[in-house]
Amino acid sequence: MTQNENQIESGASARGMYWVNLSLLAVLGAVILGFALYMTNTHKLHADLTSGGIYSLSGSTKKLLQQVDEKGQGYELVSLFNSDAEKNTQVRDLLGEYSRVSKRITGKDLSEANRDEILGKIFDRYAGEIKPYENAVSEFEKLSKSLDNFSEIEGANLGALAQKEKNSAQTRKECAELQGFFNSSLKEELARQQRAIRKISDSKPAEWWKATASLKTFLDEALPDITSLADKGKYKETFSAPLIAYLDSAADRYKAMSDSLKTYKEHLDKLPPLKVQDVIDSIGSNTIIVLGPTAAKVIGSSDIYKVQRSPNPRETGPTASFEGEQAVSSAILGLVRPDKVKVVFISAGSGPLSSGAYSMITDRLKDLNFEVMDWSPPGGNPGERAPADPNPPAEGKGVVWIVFPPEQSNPQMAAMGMPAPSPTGVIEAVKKHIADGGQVLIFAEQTSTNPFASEGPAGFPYEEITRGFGVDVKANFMVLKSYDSQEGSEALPLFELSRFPEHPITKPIQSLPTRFVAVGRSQMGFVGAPTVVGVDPKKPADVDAQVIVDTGNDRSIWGESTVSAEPKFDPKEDLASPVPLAVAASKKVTVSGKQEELRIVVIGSKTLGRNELIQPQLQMRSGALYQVVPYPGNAELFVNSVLWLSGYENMIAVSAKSNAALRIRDIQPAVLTTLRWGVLWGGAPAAALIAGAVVYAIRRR
Amino acid sequence: MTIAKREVTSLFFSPIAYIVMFLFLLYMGLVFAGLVFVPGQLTELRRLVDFSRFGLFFIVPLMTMSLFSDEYRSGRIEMLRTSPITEFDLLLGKFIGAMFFFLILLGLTLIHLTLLMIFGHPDYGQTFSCYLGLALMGMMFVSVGLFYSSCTQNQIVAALGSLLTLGFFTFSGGLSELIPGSTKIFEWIHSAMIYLSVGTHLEDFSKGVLDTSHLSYFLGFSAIFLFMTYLVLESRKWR
Amino acid sequence: MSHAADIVVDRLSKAYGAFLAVDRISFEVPKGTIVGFLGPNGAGKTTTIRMLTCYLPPTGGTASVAGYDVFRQSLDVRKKIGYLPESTPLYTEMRVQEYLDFKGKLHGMDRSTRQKRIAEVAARCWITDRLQSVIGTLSKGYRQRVGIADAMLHNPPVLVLDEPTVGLDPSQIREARRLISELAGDHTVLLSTHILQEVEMVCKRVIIIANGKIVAQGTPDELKNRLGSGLIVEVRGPADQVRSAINAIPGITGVDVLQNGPVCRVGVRGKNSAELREQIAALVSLRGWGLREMRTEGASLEEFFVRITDPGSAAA
Repeated sequence: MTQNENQIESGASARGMYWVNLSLLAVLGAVILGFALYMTNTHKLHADLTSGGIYSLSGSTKKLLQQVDEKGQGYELVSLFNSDAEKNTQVRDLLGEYSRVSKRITGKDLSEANRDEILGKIFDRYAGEIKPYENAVSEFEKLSKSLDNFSEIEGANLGALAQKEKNSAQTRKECAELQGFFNSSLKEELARQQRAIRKISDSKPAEWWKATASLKTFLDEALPDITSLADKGKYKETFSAPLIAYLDSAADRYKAMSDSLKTYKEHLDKLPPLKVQDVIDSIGSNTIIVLGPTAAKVIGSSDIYKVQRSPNPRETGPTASFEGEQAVSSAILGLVRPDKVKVVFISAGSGPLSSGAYSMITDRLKDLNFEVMDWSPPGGNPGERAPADPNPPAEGKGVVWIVFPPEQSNPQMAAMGMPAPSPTGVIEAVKKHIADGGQVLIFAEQTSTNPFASEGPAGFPYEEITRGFGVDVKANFMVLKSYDSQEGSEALPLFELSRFPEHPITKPIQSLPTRFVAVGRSQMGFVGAPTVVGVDPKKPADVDAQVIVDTGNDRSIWGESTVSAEPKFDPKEDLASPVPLAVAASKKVTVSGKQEELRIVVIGSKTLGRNELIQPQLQMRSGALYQVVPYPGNAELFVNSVLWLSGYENMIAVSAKSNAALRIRDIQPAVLTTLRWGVLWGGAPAAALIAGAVVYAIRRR
Repeated sequence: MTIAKREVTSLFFSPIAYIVMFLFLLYMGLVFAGLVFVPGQLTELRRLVDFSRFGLFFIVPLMTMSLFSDEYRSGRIEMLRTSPITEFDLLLGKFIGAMFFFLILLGLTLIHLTLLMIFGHPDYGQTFSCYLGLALMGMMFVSVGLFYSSCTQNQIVAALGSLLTLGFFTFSGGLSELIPGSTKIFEWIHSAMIYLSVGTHLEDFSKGVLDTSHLSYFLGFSAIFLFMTYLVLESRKWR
Repeated sequence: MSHAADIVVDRLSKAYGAFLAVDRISFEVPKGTIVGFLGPNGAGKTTTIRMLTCYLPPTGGTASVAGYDVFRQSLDVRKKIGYLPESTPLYTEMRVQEYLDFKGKLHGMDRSTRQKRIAEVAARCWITDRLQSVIGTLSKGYRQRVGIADAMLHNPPVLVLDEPTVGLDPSQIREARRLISELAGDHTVLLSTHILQEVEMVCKRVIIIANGKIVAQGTPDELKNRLGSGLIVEVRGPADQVRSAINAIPGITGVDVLQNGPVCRVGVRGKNSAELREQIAALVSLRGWGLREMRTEGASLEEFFVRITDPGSAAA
């Protein structure tokens, strides 16, 4: 009986058990799901399915972002793209990839309406730099009070003088004028300054430098007036006696006032220039702002979309390539790197190169957070523009020197018996630099000692440096067969390469057109003498040297040993393609007890990075003018070499992605209309309805 | 499987399936013609996929509303539940049936893909990822619809319930912009809403990127709703 | 528990909250018999059947079908049971053939078995000519037959039919009953109905349920005997006097006035015998009332049913 009672109860207990099981199951399921969702959100794996790998950041960017993650500082990427839907999306997608790969990076899509928010963030990062400006402005508050008092008192005193009947009319007029200066123009101007300051300090974020700038102009105007009143020598000549007597009596006050104003102005003048100003000035629509932990960078639209010459200019116009990744990655790199690597342009006997013929390369290097300097060592052309400095601005470990061959001697100077530029000083300095662990990029060109006597090469001055790295700079010039010097005096013998031997430096520039100047004559004589630079077969065993540029299979170029007006390929003496043109070499050495790698790059064409070869050109493209970079490879090869030398080769290899995405081709309007009505919003839905009706009719039979 | 097969064949004999197809094709056709199929545009389905959710959130409920509700209303649930199949079989069958129909709907967009292929060259990897994303989103939507259908015998109520829920998932990204204030709680709600939004997770698929976090979002929410449906089915007999 | 029983119900209960729909009922249905499950609407018939078919879990007690426990071996039970639910829910958009095929698949039958069985059950239920019709277009009678065919499709040892003849016209009802009768032997049938004639005609045993409790069970004859039989007497005379006079005769257990007026009709209950009839006839003629009619009436289950399920009548 008891067993039966149990059985009767079993239904109820089964019901209870059922609910218990159910709730346990529900809790378990929720926990498992929550965990799975959390795990997949923190440990994302992703795969880019697009055939072009559009949404894959390059390996070097990933390495860079790894560094960012390791450092643990947050970065914010803000896109201000808002004009072209397609570009907006592309930029947004790119920034999204950055935040996907790195936990420390957030991407944002903002418009200029959020300017204040962005400015606030930028100001936070430059607070230390802005603070002195703020202080200076608040100092002025005090100064302005005393100035106000001063002008009040002086105005009153001078007013009284102007009222005195016994003073001559001339004196009274002078006094009244001065009173006017103190009581109205100075006071008013002061009040206006104070209003302006208040307005600036009230605005958030406050742009203090605008206040200091305005104060500067104010002081520029007011200070001479007050100083002249404190200067006895000056006012004696202009004013009549009673006024002079008054000013004499008040001389201390005037002196004190003008001194304190002067000190303040000096203080203003001494304020260091603001970097934040550059940042803010470059903010605009269609820019990307990279907010680092302590600094910010703004990337302009033209750095993101670079218009390049298309490979077949006749068939297609220039194409814009999307170089957002390069731009953003280099901006991040600039912010990540703790200290700037110094790059020194060295050329005996020429003006500062970084601001001259190489200013565009310099800008690129600065973007990559290099500090660019110039050194003009002694031994250049006498009477040159830049005075020679016996000591290099930076040398040794962590510094990249870019060494140019000495200028060819100036014919006129030579005619006057001046000595030719001598490379000896440079050679000694470079040796010391390398011995200290420094890196060198050498542009090796044979130089001719006397252009009148002989146009032939006169040996390579840095031979002893390059030899040690297994680099063989040959006495052969690059000659371009098809070059016709008669065509026009301006035309340069140019040849173009777009395939390079595999090396970290050249990896990203494969297929980028790169231009070199071959030997040729112009009215000036040799415009350049690109030299064959190869690997020495008898190179030291501890050296790793590799050719990074050669002429490939182009039979129209060869390395000529004897230069004449009509060069001819001579199989016995000349070098046939592929002719090496640049070598990157490295050597393991022990510098002050530590194993180090010394690197050197030797490029046989000094014109490689000149502005003339890399600057964009204007081109017409479907009725609009575009800036086109005709030979993007030149700058890349130069910059990549510097990056490799400075040990930042992981920043190389961010190669441009073609923006020539596949588009829907032109469709005749009639066809389009037919398709729309016949298929898209007419035919297909109607077909569904008809099919339904037919099936329904059949089934209901 | 039997249930699924019956479900699909039955759907093809019911007018609602054709109404769903009509609405789907009409919506997709309008989006495609307006946003994608424009000369000079990129040949990618991306925007079609991104916008599809605004159509599917009201089309899928129409498709799923009757799945269980109608069985309850007609009493056929008694027949099904006394057949030698488990609740799980029943749920799986209904789910597979509805998914199959959804995939047929997706199949209809091959019309649009074909047009793209005639007049351009779509990226196949990206296209695959687009369809994968759509299928996963459909899976989640169908699961939600199934859940509401299992809750009530009134089809209209089921449709409304799933419409509201899917509407939330569809628009929460946009709605999150409306959240005022900047306190911690609001920020938290804001980011939660962005996470919940289907758009957040669909976008990478439409771009051509597979990401496990999005995969798990769709699979996870499908699982949640299917599991809840299972609980509802199981518990119905105990009430 | 009997080994010969296909359905064994032991103190089965179902509570909906506080309301006890089925209150500890116990019964057995032997193999191969047709048992009528009788009761007024709301008596708990359908709930009991739903527990037996595993649609609802019991809140108390146990039940087993074909040796399987409905709670623990629900899937086995479902395989062994053919069930026709009360409202015969069908997929109206499907054809009969398709529907039966679908059900066959649910029961895990292979294709050839399905074809064979569909042909068989269709023939048995006279729906062969309608196999290609869409169910929605069929009349109620045909749908009912499809339902029965569906229940029989997998040849289950146990059939549970809930109100199988509802909505059928008289000739269809006759046919349906014949069909059900034929099932005996091969199948154990639990036939739920509220129509008594059906039970009398078809069932070997009857279980009567009211208010969630079994109030009587047995063969129809046993139940009839428990009721006894009666006489209908039509007399020209005052009803009250007629009633009391007849009631006074020994052996009479009760008299009901069935019709009042100058000519009254009374129902007489008691041990039915010729002797009794003679006594009544004598009494009537003695009083000078005119005996118009006197006939014997067999005890109907209907009467029994009304009496035991209606508390007011039972008390009288």
